[in-house]
Amino acid sequence: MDGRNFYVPTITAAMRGKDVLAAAGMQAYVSRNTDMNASAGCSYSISVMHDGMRAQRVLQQNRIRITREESR
Amino acid sequence: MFYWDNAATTFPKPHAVRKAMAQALMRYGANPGRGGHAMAYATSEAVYRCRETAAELFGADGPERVVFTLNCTMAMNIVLKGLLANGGNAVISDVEHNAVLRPLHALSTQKHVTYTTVPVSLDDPAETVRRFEKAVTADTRVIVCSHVSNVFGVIQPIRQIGAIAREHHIPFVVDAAQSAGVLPLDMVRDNIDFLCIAGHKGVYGPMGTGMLLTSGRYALPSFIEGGTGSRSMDPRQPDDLPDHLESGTPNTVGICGLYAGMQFVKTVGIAHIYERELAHIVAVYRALENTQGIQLYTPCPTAGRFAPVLSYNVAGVPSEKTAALLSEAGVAVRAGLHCAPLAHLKMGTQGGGTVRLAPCVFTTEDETQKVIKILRQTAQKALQT
Repeated sequence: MDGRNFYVPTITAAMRGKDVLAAAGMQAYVSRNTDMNASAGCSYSISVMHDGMRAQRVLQQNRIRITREESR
Repeated sequence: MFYWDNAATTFPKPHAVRKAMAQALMRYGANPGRGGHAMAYATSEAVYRCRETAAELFGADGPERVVFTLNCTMAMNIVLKGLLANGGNAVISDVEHNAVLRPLHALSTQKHVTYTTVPVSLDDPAETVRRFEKAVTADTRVIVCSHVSNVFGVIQPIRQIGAIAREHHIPFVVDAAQSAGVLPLDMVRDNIDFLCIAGHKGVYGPMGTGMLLTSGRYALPSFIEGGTGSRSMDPRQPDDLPDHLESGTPNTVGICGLYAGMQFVKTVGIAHIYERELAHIVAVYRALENTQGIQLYTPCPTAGRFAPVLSYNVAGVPSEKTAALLSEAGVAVRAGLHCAPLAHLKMGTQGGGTVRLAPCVFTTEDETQKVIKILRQTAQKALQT
C-alpha cells in the first residue's frame, strides 16, 4: 500500500503539502508529530495511505521540504 | 460623519470582514500551529488560507512567503534592520513615510548605515527611474520605494526601479501601505523582493494586521524569537518561513478579518476599486481648483499617475485648523504631516502640513458632492476667521 508519513518543518508547509497532494488527486491529512525525539520537539506531518513514492515526488516537485519520512 | 481618512485606515469594513472576525472568536479560539486537536487544526487552516490568498493576490511564491505582522511599519522594520544589520547604504525616495525614514535614521546612529534620498519626479516617471539609477553605489545594500505617496498620491514606477535593483543584485523593498488593494501589485512582474503591506487600509482588514511578503531571494535574520509550535527542543529560531519571522500567538481574529478583506477586494476587483475612488478624488480636485483660497499641490490626478489621495490647504490657514472645522461640519480627514516629513519637505508644506482626503470603495457620488459642498463652505469660514 506504500503509506507514508512525511515530516515537514512548519504547519504552513504541512497545509501546502496537503493541498498540492490534493491537486494531484491524492488524499492526505495533516497531523501533529508525537515523536518528540525524532524532530527536536514539535512538528507536523503529512500522511498518505497509498502511493508514498508518488506523494514524495509531488511534494518535492512543489518544493515542500521533507525533514524525515517513514512508512506507515 | 463622512469618513475621508481612508489613507490612515479604511472605514467602514465590509460586512464580510466584521462577520469573519465575529465568527473567528467563536470558531477559531485555539492557537494555530500548536495543538493537535480539531479546533487547533481549523484555526491553523484559517490562518493558512489567509496566507494563500495574500500570496495569490500579490504574486508571492507560495503561502510560506507571507509573514504576518502588526502593521506595515513592523514589516518595514523587519526588512531594513535585517538587510542593514552589517551596515551599508540604503537608497530611498524623497516621499517615504517615517516607517522607512525612522528605522534608517536609527540605524544610521547605531551602525554604519547611510541613506540616500532620491527626488522623485511628479510628472516624469522615467526621470525618477534615472535618478534612482544614479543614486546606486557600490555600498548600496537596499533600495526602498513607496509605491504611492501617502500625502500627495503620486504613484512611483516601482517595476522599473525594481529592475534597477535586480540589475545591481540589490534587494528591492516596496512600501505598499497605500497601494495594496488599490493598484495591481505582482512581486514577480514588479521585481519586488520584500513587499510591506498594511492590512487595515486598502485590503480592508482590521487594525493590528500587516504582512511582509518575501521573494525568497534574500534571507533575513529573525526579528523576534520565541515559540513557533515547531522544533521546540531547539533553542534556535527555525530557519523555515514563515516561522522564522513569526513568534508567539498570532492575531488570529485579525488574520481572519484580513482574509475576508482580501476576498472582498478580489470580488470587487482592484481595477474597479481604483477607478471608483479616483473618480471621487478627481471630482473633489475639480471643485477645489475652482474654489477661492484653496491651495493644491499636484496636477489633477490622472489614472496611472496618481492614487486616490489628495492634499490641499486653505491659503494661510494651518491645516489642523481646517481639519477641525471639517470635523465640526461632519467630514473626517487627517491634517498635519502624516508621518511623512520628507514628502512635506519636498512640496514645501512642512510648516503647516496639509489636509488629506481619501475616499474608499464605499464612498458614493452623492456623498462626494456633499463633501465638496462642505469643503467649500469650510474654506470660506476658515478664511473669514
